[in-house]
Amino acid sequence: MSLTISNLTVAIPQCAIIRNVSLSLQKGELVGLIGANGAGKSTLLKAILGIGGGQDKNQSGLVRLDGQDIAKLSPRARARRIAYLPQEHRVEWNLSVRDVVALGRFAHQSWLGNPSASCVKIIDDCMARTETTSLATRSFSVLSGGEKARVLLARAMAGQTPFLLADEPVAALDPLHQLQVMTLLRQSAQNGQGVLAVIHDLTLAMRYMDRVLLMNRGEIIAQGPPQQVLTKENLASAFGITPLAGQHQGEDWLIPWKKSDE
Amino acid sequence: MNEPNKTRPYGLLLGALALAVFLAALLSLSMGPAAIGFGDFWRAVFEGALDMPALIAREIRIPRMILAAAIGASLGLSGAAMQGLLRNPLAEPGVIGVSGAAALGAVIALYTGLSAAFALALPFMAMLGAVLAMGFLYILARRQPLSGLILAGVALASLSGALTALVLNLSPNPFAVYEIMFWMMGSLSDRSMVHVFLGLPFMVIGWVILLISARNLDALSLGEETALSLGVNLKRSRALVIFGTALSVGAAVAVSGVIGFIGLVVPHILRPFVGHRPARLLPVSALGGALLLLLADIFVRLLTPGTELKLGVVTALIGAPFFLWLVLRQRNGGPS
Repeated sequence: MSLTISNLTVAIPQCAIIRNVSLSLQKGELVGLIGANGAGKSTLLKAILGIGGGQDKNQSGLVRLDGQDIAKLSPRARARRIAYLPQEHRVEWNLSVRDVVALGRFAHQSWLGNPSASCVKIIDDCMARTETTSLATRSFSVLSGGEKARVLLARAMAGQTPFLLADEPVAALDPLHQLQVMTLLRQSAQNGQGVLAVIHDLTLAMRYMDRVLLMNRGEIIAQGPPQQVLTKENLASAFGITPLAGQHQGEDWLIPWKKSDE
Repeated sequence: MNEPNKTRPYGLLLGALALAVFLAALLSLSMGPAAIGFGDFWRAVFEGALDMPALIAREIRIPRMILAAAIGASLGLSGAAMQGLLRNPLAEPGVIGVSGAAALGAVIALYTGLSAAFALALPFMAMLGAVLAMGFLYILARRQPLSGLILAGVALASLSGALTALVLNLSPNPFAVYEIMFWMMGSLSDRSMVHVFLGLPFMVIGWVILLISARNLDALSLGEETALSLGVNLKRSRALVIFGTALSVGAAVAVSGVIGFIGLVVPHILRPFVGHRPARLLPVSALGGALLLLLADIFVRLLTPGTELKLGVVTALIGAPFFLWLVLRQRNGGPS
């Protein structure tokens, strides 16, 4: 099963914010989407789902799921195949953590919305994996940023979709939970999910991603295994930085060190 | 594992509210200057008796009880739905301007003397006002984002208010002004079964539409984009909530005049009891609204028999300070 995007372009008046992007995501791989702020990463994720539609946004190109045009799927059918984890950690009302996670089963539930036994089990499981079980009855709004991030990840995982598009899943997390969430995404990929995740941490991208896509000004300027994409030249043109790189126990690490022109 | 424990109190809450509505309805039936017994109601409804007690039961008490319950339910339900749609606890059914437009229609009927010539002209004109406002909103709902739609609703409400004021201003006859002012305060006295037949079907259709779209409101609490990603058809559910609100509230205003605060206060009070879940709030708010309006209508008849206080005045008089207290308490104490 694969998600194929061909010639995707998103334009607002007088400006293309995604230019002719083509990529594919296979089940079972963890792919990183890397690029400077404003490069179009979030817009790309939303455009794949077809949910970024503002009034004056124009989108062209084709997104196919196993060869089938995604625009022809019902919203519900699409939601059962692709989950989306937004960048913002916003939940209205004082919903409990468990109710938030349960919303991940939204597209699988009947009109009455009472979760079946199997749904309940999936929700429990996702909360256990993200270490949010102890928060279940707490109100989402009082959680810390890192806790919110994990709860929302559990929500996105609860859909058990073949694909997951995650917008900065580790952005608000402390170092331990960054590693934990990356491991979770890794596991999800090993269990067969195709995961596309926006990520800023170069070392995490290096260590955990099967592939990375490097975006700059609405275009993908390089893609492939992290070692081949996150080169000095590419990082200079995408971010304007010079990294510091090395190896530890056979694994690469990479941190931003200084501006390229310094 | 939490879920079954949570659904049980919800069922209990629904049951308790339903029981309270039932008891309030019985109490409402018993209220009035004439002593009417259960037997009279039985004969009025099932035997079509024509004696005085049966007539009072059939023509006065029963329609008044039905209208209080139905209008209260419409206001509570649509208030909860609007708050869920707009994700704003200050939203209320009037915010989309339909009740203002309905009131304007009624005021025009009173001003032109149409309602004097033909008694049902008033609710008909009010329904017409509501329908026109609804059509306007429907066209907008397909093109505008939500914020634009709400601003249009607010503009519609103030335009209706301004036109109503204009009618009052131009009215040469002080009695007409008096009548208009009184009608606008909202009341359920002197309503008959005809009003029930006129208003109830629209209200019921509105309820069904709102309850169908309830589930999507839960998804909306994660924000519009996430709701879309979860498979919600945002445009359609937005149109449904507005349409359902317009139908039920338009019909309610047409029959009773403007009754404030129920749509705002009832969802606000009940929200903590349903774990703040927008979808679950809808059915309980309908029952809560019915209960509150039945009680307010009983209170009105109890307090000042004869020269009745207007129902809308009472709901606002009790509702506004109560709401203020609620808001202040939340500020000081628990999580907001």
